Amino acid sequence: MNKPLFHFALAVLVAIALPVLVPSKTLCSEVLIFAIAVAGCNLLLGYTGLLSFGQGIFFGLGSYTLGLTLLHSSLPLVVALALASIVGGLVAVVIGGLAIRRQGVYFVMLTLALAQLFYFLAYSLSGITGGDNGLLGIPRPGVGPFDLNGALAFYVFTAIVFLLIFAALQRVVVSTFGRTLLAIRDNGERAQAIGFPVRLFKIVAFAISGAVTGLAGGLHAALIGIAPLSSIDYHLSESVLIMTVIGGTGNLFGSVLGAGFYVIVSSVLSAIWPRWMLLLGALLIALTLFMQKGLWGLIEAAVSRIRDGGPRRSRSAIRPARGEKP
Amino acid sequence: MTLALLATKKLGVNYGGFNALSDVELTVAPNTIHSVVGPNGAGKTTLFQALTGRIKPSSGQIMFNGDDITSLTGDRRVRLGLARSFQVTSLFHSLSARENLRLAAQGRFPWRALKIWQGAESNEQALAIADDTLAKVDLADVAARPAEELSHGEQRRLEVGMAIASCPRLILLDEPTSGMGIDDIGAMKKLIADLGRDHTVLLIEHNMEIVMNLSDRVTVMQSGRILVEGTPSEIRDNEDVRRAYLGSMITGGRA
Repeated sequence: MNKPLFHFALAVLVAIALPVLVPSKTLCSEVLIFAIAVAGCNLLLGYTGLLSFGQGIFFGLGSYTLGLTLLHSSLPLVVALALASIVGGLVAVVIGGLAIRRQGVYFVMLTLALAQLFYFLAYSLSGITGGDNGLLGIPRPGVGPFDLNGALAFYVFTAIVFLLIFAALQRVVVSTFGRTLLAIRDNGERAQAIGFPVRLFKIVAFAISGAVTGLAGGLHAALIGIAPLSSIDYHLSESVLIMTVIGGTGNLFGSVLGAGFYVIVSSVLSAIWPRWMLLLGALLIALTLFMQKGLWGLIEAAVSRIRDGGPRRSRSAIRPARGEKP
Repeated sequence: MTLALLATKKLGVNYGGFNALSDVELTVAPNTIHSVVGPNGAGKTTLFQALTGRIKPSSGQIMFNGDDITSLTGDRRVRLGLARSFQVTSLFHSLSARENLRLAAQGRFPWRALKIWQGAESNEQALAIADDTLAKVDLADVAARPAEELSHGEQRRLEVGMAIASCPRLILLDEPTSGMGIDDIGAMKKLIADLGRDHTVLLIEHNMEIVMNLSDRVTVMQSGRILVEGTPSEIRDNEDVRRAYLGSMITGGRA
């Protein structure tokens, strides 16, 4: 149930099943793009215990970087995505380095303030970012011999990137580094006391999270052909955080569930009822009150109930999820 | 006497006008168990905080193994071989006992833990130390259980194990028997005695039976100053100490 290989198999299954079940291939791509961003957020929230409202900064900068690269040069898509990722990672080092100087609420407020700062920067530097209109008409070059101008072709490309990132992050969270992050999440003071330079570890976690989120932002701009101002605003940070919580923190496949659920449900509901956010709010309240491990925790509890014929052992069944042995 | 492993010179800590520590001259010889006792508020824990780098001394010097470590951060001191256990249990609650110890062993080489590709289970050296420590603190049976599910006595032993696992030259134990039931105290006493054989131990403890039976040296503190220092029998017979403690604690068995 909690072997990394099994989770990777689930991720592959999702990537294959999505285009079969969901008619709009653009929506499918969006799900996986957000799954990448949410996994990046999960690394901070679920594995390091850092509630960052700054994820939109990295996503937006990734979008702008890809847009500017493809609009002003003839560099290949993969290079543009790599640049988006690098910019996201570097800025995350600065943002993280600043914000982790404070803890708890002050840390959260700092990320929030920085997110607002970058939003207004993007808004006012309209010569570069297109301001309110965003960057329009971003081309989508092919990769090698493959033309990516069909929705399905781009989905296949997105799915490959998604699976690569998912596998890489899986590696990170079971690594010595990832396990140290868990220790820092549990008890930062003790981690410092046994000799770990906690700030450095948090900054590296930010760098990875920023790089992954920047890549997602770049992919998103390539998907919709524009880098809108909304890709860097506060609402994006908030959505990514909500998806992380819905899916379940501290579990990477949970992030895929959270992104899939949020993106698809909001797309369906928004077509039916313009006040759909109300329902989402109710769901979030239910989640925080009754199932703090999110959708993944729900599945886990259900599976252990079926297996053991009762919920009593669910606690010990969930525990090794934190990765006692990979 | 051999060269001191730890020595403080005129160490003082001032909290906004209040002298929590003044002129503390403590010398800990290698391979000894050295206890620090004194009534609540005597400055014992403040002394530990200053020694481990948690708080900055306002005056004086801390020498460790001949080097001045006064201005070093806490994690640097751990790497030099100075480890502590906490009075209030402080563990990685969702991680297994074994992984708690593996992390503590890894803390001596934190840069190795930055490898994001290497699996945690491949740190053979750290795992060997963790397994060794599990045996020492008698937790091998519950090695795979998350720290939060251990009993209080087990958590206290794991707490001490965390200090041992960093392979320190000096272990600072802050009230290792704090909150323990009578049945668990025996195990802890044996553990501290074992530690004294191949480590240097600086111990804060209220349980006088442990202090008097295990210590090579005892330092008595009062109001942020050292009142007297000596062997357990010298302390037992000291008039000043009797007065400070109103007799009962030092002469009578348990605290």
